[in-house]
Amino acid sequence: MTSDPGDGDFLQGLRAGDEACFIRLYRRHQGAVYRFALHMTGNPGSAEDITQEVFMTLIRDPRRYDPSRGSLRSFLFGISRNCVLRLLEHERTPLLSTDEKAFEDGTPAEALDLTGELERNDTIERVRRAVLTLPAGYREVVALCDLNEMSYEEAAEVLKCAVGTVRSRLHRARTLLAGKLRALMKVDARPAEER
Amino acid sequence: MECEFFAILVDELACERLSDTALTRRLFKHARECPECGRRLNEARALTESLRALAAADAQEQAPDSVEEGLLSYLRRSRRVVRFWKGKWVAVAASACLIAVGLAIWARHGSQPVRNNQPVIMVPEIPPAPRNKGRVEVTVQPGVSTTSPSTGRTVSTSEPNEYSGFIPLPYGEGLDSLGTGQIVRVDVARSALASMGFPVTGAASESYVQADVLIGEDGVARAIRFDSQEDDSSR
Repeated sequence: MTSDPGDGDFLQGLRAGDEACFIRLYRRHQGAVYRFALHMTGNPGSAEDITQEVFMTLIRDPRRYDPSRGSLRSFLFGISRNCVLRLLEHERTPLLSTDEKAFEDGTPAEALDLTGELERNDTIERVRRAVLTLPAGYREVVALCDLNEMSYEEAAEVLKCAVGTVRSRLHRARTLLAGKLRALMKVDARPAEER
Repeated sequence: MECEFFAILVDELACERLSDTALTRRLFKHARECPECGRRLNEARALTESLRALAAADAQEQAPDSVEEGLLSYLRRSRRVVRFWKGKWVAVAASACLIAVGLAIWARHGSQPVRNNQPVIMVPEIPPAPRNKGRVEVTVQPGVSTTSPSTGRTVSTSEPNEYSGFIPLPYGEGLDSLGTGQIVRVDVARSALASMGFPVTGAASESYVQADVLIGEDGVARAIRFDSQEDDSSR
């Protein structure tokens, strides 16, 4: 797979120290990197720091990116993912907890009915909360494939795993997410005095 | 079997990620026929819609402008550093070469001791003294005493050379262990020679006798040789 059209030229310019090329690259990719970090951490400040770190890495050593190993977007998401994992490790959040590992082995989920249940804004906030409570190993595939619309192949490049692993992990992540959303809806449906 | 297969692919069906149209058609047909799988598909679609709604709501989320400004100043600083070293590399390389040459010279010569500038008479290496049952053999020149003052031993004679005529001193280790040495010409008081056991005339007077002293590497005088002409006239 090759880089996006234009990325190669801008990278070459960046290697030569061209500021305009860096700005073009940054503006093209910063939004996605920032959002990925935001969906993973739930914290705008952390997302900001991670975005900065990702592009500082690119400035420091643009030659680290090898076009033969995937797109520049995958490369930047890979750095972003490493930064997120370092942050989570610092906060002592496991990639997959024991319960979720058991779930990954095939625990069935109850049915979920989101249709017509909630107002749009409520739904969005509820989904955001549910995504943030997913274990990081599942959260990242949801953030990459569902929220950033990455292909399985591209997600596999970022996560450095097989495409089949991405597919199965996403399936389990979505099942788990449905369960969490159901639980959140039950909590929200209760009268305020009961909560 | 079809339901299990459907459950595996329902998310990809809901996300429209299946590229095989025949398979997609088959799965939709099953969802219409099977109420449970139909419910699964609806749920997966609802979840997909919710996630897309979240993605759309966050689509405008971006890093603040301050991040871009910070990165640009970081880029400028990095470029300045690169430019600085680019212009200096010749000077740095030259300095490194000079240091390397200096170290090489120091390694070759720096560790040698400082030479003593005092006027010392240096002689070539003295051949090791031949051993003969513990006796020191020193070549005897005509007219020079061949008797050791302490032992009265007579030293044997071989071909005369520049080291001939030395008499081992009584307190020294003799010439057995002497490898190299120096010959120093000195004026020795007759009284001093008498105290060492040498048979001298006029020992009580303050006159001096010229002699060559053989000094070993350790700085200890090993042997003495008297100037033959002076010896003849004065001793």
